[in-house]
Amino acid sequence: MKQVTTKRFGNIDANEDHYIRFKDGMIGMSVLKQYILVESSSYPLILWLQSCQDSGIAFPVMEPAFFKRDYKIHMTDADRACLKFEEGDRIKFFVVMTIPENIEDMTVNLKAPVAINLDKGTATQVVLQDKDLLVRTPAYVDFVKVIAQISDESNDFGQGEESWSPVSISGRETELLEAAV
Amino acid sequence: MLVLTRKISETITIDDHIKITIVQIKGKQVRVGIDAPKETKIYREEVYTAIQEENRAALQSMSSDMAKLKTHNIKKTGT
Repeated sequence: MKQVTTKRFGNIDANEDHYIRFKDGMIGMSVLKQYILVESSSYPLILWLQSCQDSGIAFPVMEPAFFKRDYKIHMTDADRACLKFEEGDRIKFFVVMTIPENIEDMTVNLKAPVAINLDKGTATQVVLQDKDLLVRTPAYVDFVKVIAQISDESNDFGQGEESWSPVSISGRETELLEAAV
Repeated sequence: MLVLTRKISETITIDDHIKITIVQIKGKQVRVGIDAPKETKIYREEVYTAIQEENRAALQSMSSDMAKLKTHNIKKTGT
């Protein structure tokens, strides 16, 4: 067990099972290669991709299905190589959120999702060729819709003591397998 | 920056594994073919830059905003 120091969430206990390794880092941040995914008891929809090397680096991410139902992710050979992808590996995709001061201006990056190989603990930021996909896609309306759905199912959402915990990668299920190949 | 002059169908070789060929010249547009090892990531510069900038912007998502998000969520729950 190792402690990951974070500016946003304090110290988080993480082990091998939690580590996500980027061969080339996130785009523009090639030095930072190790991350963990952090979830909060208070915000069930947003996960945080937290750097293990730089406490101040944490990307808010969500599942793309909330924002685009027919999201087609075509990975290149280079992407598969970064993920050490082998037949049968489960790949999970996340999109990076930008949440500015005015949350109604929140956007999601559908152009460059993060792919995580759940079986290898490897990850890469994929760049999609589709010209219709935007780096800054307005996301607030969809976000509120999803929040409303979740609120209907769970009454204690957003209540109680806030706590942060790392997400175990190898145990995670994925429903986006067909998009991987 | 190294600047080389090439004609159509001529190639530039970089190291042992990367070859860049001028495929077509049409007005102000040039079509370039790139042969590189399959693990090489190749992007259009403006796309790469836009993603790089957006990654930086995503990191500025502040905790005060998160708190706002939370109260906003609770309000939604109540309605």
